[in-house]
Amino acid sequence: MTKNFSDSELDALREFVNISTAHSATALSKMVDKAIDVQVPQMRLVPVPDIPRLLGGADAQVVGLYFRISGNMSGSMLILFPKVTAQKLVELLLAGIIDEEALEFKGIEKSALMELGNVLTNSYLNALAELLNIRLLLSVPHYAEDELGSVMDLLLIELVEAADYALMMGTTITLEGTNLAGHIIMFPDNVSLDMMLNKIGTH
Amino acid sequence: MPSITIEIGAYKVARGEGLLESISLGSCVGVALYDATARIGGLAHVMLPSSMFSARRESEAMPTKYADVAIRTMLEAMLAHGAHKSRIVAKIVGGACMFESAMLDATMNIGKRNSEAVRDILNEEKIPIIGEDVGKSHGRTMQFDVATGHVQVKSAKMGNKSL
Repeated sequence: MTKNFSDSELDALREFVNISTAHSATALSKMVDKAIDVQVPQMRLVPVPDIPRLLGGADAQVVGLYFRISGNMSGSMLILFPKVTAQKLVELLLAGIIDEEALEFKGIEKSALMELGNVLTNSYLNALAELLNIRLLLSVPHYAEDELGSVMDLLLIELVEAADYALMMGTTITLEGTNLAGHIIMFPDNVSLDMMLNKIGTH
Repeated sequence: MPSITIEIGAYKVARGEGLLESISLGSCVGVALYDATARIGGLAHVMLPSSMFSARRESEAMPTKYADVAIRTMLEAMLAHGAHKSRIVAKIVGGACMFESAMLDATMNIGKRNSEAVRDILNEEKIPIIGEDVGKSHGRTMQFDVATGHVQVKSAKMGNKSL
């Protein structure tokens, strides 16, 4: 699994990511009627099996939102937040109407995170679809909270036959002066990744 | 005793003593096989149900990621170490559907397919399952003590369990 991505390919991806983050910040601000900023300070293509290690180890407690991509590309998207970050995010989104001591997220907290996930992933997918002039569809969000390794092993399994690399985007959401860091990871299958890089590269 | 972690898709066999461990099993299934008399045990961290439909089968780097290959390869290794097939028993852990909303989607509930495949293969090999903690939607870490055959299951959400 060795493949080098050229600077121009990565630059093209950065351009796509910048457009997407601008879209998602606008959409999120509208959703909660608060000023929200979204930044992607880090972006890289990484071998899929390295991801748990890069994100703090298999036993880190996380909240994961999983989406399937279909249309002219196939693959999946996964949003991961450390559990404490997700808790903080929910608190800010729901402005203090939840029990902050709750160990597990209940209905409304889950819905808030899933909606946030919907907005983020759809912004990325729409930006990508526009940029590449293709049609992309996203599934409903699937929610899990547990250890990173167990939340991610479905992805490793699904991708073992189809994808070698994922686009890992370190993402910071700034809300009411608080910075909340998580990751948005896109797993295009190998064919889709090549198509994406080719199309973006010649754009 | 320091534990030996089984990589995802791999297996290990130990004799006499040893603490074998599968960390953060979600959809994957940990399969422990044990011959108590010979004190020979093996643990496999299975990712996929069957090697039959693998597109990359020919060039497969780690065929033991598949339940069928993993169980049969591990069984052979145990027999080569002196285990007797008639004495071997199994304990299985994992096979969850971590995304609860996908539980009914057969293409996404690979955990269920994994545990079913493991059951079928053990049944074909006439190896009884004497302990299990499978399914639902939580992750599990599994520790298998080869000195005693004891399996400890740890879950951040559901607490600990002995098998």
